[in-house]
Amino acid sequence: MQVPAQFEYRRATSVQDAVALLARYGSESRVVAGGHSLIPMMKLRLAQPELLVDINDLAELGGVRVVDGELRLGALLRHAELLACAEAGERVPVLHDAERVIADPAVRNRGTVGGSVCQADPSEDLSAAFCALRAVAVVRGTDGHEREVPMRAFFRGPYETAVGPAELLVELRVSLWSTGSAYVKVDRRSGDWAVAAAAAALRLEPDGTVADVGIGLTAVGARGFVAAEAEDDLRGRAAGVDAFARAGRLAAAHCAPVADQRGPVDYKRHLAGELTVRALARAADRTGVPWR
Amino acid sequence: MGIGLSFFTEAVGAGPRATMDVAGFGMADAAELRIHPSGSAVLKVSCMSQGQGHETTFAQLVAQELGISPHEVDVVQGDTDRTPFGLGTYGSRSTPVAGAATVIAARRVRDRARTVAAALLEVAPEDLEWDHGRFGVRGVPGAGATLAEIALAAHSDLELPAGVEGQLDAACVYNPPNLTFPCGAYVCVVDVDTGTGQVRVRRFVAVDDCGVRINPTIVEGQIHGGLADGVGMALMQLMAFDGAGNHLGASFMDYLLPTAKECPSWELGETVTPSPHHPVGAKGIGECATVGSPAAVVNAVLDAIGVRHADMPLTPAQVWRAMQGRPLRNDLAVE
Amino acid sequence: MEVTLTVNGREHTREIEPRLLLVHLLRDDLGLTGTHWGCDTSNCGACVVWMDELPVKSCTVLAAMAGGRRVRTVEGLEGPSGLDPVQTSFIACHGLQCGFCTPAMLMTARWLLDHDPDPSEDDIREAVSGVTCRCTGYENIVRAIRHAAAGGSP
Repeated sequence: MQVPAQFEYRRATSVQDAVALLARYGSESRVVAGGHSLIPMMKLRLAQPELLVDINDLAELGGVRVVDGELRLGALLRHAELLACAEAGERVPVLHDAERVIADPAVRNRGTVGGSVCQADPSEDLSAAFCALRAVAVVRGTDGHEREVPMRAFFRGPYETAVGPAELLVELRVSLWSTGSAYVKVDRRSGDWAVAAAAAALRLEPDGTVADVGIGLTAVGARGFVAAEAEDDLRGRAAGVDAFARAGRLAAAHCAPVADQRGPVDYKRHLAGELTVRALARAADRTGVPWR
Repeated sequence: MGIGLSFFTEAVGAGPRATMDVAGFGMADAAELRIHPSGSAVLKVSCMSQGQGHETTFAQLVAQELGISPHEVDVVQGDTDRTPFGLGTYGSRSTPVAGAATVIAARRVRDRARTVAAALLEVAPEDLEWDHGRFGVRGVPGAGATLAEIALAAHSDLELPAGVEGQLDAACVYNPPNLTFPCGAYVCVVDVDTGTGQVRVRRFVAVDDCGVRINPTIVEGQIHGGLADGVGMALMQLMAFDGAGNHLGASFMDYLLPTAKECPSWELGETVTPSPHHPVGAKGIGECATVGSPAAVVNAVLDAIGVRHADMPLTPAQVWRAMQGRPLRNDLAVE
Repeated sequence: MEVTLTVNGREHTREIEPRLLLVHLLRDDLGLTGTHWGCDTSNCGACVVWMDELPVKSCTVLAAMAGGRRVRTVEGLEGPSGLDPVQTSFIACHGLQCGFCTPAMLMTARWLLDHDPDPSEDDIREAVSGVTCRCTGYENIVRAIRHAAAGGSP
């Protein structure tokens, strides 16, 4: 029987209340939303917070909507809610691709978008998707001040983010610059963590030129979940099999996978390239612009 | 796409106790069958169901032998304070051994019932004919007694014949003359993504011969589960250790079981070759599908990628490396 | 701390430790042992119950987090006119063997049919993919849920 260590439990009544609680207890406090990353870690005593701040009552943190040309996702948005949002799926299909392969439906009913990125697990699916999209995280502190952190600067390392000890992630904002996007994952079994995965977001000119591109990589040790060298190489080129293959080779060359029971380094590096190519091709298909 | 075939014969149950043993214990099992004065029965067996439906299958065996309804048979198991001793349930051996003990105990009940019925009907035992739960008097239509009437008589003030103390209860410790040999032929069709090494089981056809099927629904359920287990073994179940000796598959997060999405809709067929080593011709079935299905799945993957051999589990990484002639050491997590 | 929650329409108040998991509150404090407790890592799904009308894994929900919420367990599945059609269908189709996954499968199936009365085989497999079964190979579970969708007569 796995049981967490003792802790104090408080249910936040507002974002300000949550942040105040976090400020009072400092680094020994943790926010719990879906709990599907934190509670298992607490059971294994990998996490032993003294205070758990439950934010599930904070309706203001929920929901997904398009405002000012941006898709805005509340930190408390459940995975299943994002998956059920047709507009999000149409405007940024990479998010639906990723959501479909996160765990299983019961977990997705509970787990939250904000919790997933705040966990900062190197194998987490949405992180690469948000980085490919150049999403922005909105973080609120004790004085009610909000600051924006680009997702590409959000992850400080495994299980570490830019969110401070007395701050709360409140929203993720996705600028709708991409006209096609996709997420492709290889797992050992449905619901498992990725062996490797790639996210791609593209904006193509009518002639097929890559006006802008974002490429995110999951579970292969890409710095900040991003294949920056591949993006730089592809931008301005004509979308095509050869250009995507080049991007794939660059993505593979610049990632740093670690061998584990999901596979050896050479295989994961191969997947980084192969999945980058596939994600780019699917994203390009979705732009509706002829390519190749 | 690849197609894999496997054929198997499993040696199931147990052999004579003098030649097969476990740690000095003979591989026998036992059954005790008690017949109430009402004709209903209580069967106590030395094996234990974990969901295989012994309560149903064993009740059916008694019902078939005694011509009563399976609903009239109460099956008691899993408590050696109340049940006979035996080697229990594993390796598909419950029906082959404890099931055989059950049948023989029921036949002994029937033999006693014949003797009691002869006294009750005042005829010679050899003049009685057994017909679906009733001993009738040969050549005298209408004359006879049901098992319930005979059971009541066995508890009554009737003068019982020599050698019968009363009641119909009987028991059997079954010393198997030989193993039973279920067999099967399986065909698996997989799709392999050669760019990633991912495998999808598209179809799976399993033809099993477990002899006489006492309860076809239960038999099919056993096969379904075994086939899924085989897919898990073939594709995803890894027992690896890190350099410090930690087991890397110590929870269901890392030791993967197939979900409904990894399993196709199983297509089953059957042949029926009664076992000559079992009183009703049944053979074991619980384990059979786990014997045949990993081989069929692996063979299908190898057919798809044109490789002669690769070790299970055929994870995407293993398939990809096998395609390049550099198979992984699956017993090591890290290389 | 004190927690008050509604389980199968009935309100319960209990004094608990904050670290108590919902699955243990249901089983050990309320005696509702129909909800099973399996892997502890939110993989096996044996602990699925509804919380505020959604299937969740109760081994990964703190009982404290269920305070003020509505929980429905397999004990609350049977209606005034008898067993739920998913229950009679699991019986009719031999949809269970050992029974360990069955309560979670039933709760998941009921939710699916409430939201999609005519699910395809693929829809069913996706819906139950968070609940592991080691007995049935899922075949008769899928059949049972289709059977329930078709009316669920025994």
